Amino acid sequence: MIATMKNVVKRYGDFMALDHLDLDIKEGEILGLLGPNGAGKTTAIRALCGLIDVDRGDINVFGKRQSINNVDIKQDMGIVTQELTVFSDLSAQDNLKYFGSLYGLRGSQLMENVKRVLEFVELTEHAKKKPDKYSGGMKSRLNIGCALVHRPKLLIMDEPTVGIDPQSRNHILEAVKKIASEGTTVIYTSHYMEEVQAICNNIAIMDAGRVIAGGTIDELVGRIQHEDTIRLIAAMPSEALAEDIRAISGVKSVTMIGNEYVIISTTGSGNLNRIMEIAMRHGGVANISSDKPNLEDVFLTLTGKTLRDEGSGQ
Amino acid sequence: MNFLITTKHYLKRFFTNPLEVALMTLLPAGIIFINILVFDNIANEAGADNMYNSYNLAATAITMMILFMFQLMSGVYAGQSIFVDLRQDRRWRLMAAPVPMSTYVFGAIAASMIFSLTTAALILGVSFFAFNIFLGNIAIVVVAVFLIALMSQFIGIIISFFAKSKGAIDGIVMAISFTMSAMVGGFLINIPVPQFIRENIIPTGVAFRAVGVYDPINTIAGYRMNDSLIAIGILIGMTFLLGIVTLVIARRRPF
Ligand SMILES: Nc1ncnc2c1ncn2[C@@H]1O[C@H](COP(=O)(O)OP(=O)(O)O)[C@@H](O)[C@H]1O
Ligand SMILES: [Mg+2]
Repeated sequence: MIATMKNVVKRYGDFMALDHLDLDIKEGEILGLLGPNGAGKTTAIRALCGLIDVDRGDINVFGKRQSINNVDIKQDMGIVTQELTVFSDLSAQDNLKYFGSLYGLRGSQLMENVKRVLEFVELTEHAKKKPDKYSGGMKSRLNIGCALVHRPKLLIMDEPTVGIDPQSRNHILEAVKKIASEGTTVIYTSHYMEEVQAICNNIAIMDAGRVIAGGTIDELVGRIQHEDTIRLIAAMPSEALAEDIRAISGVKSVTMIGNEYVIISTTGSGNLNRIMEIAMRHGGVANISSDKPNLEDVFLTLTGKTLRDEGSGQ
Repeated sequence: MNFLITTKHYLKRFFTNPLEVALMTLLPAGIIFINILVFDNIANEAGADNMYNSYNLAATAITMMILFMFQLMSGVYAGQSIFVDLRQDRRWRLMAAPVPMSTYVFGAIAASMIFSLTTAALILGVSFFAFNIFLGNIAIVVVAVFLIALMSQFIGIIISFFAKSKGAIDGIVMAISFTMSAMVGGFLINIPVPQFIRENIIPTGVAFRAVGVYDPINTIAGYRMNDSLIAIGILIGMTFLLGIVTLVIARRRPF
């Protein structure tokens, strides 16, 4: 484990922002911290980075106890804040230089790292401009870049794609994968299920200040649901085809919706292939797909809530 | 080392804001020169002689008054820097760096002081050569300016811990500075206060006492050195006290 949080409690007055939170971060993984707005993701991250005191619990990073004054640990951590926290009155390059120098980088080493980061976030051509001249996506990329200059071993990203156009968003997701592939451990916070599903090895689902479920996507999904939904459009639909599919073991139901057969089948039974074979014998397949239940369904099942609150407008 | 980095950073950011720079340099200079020109005219028309030993006494008083008033405002920059860096969202990134909070605060104070003292040197220099002001014991003037500027930094920092907005820091620091100026021998308006309070309690008044504005003839004659030193002593005490208050509040309120 590169970092662990055990039994962490953080109160604001009577309100428990972190309610006996447990979280383990393995070296080299991309851990997705998924939860709706107000779940306590940002608070958890701040506690992990030693930015706030907690009321109870143990936080260990790199085998050392985290605290507000632990400079040693902070040297190897990087945080991409949820909010834009670059200096709008300094150019991108000067922003990166300052943040690099706060981590002890000097001279040619600093210049080299700044140059590398500018390339990485694709701002080399705009390096001399101030961020107030940037688009939203460019600002976010700079915000990310500022956490990378000192090459942290553990990078923490707090909703880096909120309020960003889809193209910049993909850009950022690709970047995160690249960072991780170079050996950096990443914690990626989001309330977008698709993002976490796309890039994370492990996922911790948070709600009301605690982690309510954790594991790989397959583990999480497998834990709550054991059925796949298979959708088949046959070239020559017939009642006989429906009957043959119904006879397969593990198939729970076959329903005709429009020209599509919707088949509910046990997960992992290999029925997708069997159904395809049968349909071929009955005149061919126009289209077939299998939907796994997704994280959204997991979250819904665990909490009775949706991940995205309708009112947030995101 | 980190302290030098944050100091340089705050200086750099300050100079990227031309309006702020103009406000702290051109404004006091402009006010001083206009005042001196107007006063010289009035004195000339009235046939009064405001020169003594070839020093222009009115110009001296006006320069010192405006100079100290603006020195007492110079903490606005340190206060605003700390507000936007350590009280708004940016604090999460700055606190995540392996640098203690105090390094940012001291950097902001140092940068603000450097700028403040540079302005003071420019204003005094130009006034000296253009209007023949009496600078007196230069060491006393330098120390008085330094202490008033430092006090202003502490005031700015203390206000930044409590202010609701960046703009409020401006308003409060300026209000303090104007009020004190009005109480010690006014700019535009005069608020009468007993002499004892003026010369022992109000920082700009004590500074005036130190540089000898209240008694120029004896100062020029060199009879007031002891009194100047007592005034400097009071200023040192006040600065020290404000420094302690700043530290205590900073410790209690980890942002
Ligand atoms: N400084 C604070 N004072 C009071 N309540 C807070 C504070 N910070 C966070 N909270 C509350 O804690 C809860 C969790 O917030 P946060 O960690 O920001 O959630 P998330 O990042 O998952 O959206 C929210 O209900 C929020 O209002
Ligand atoms: Mg958040």
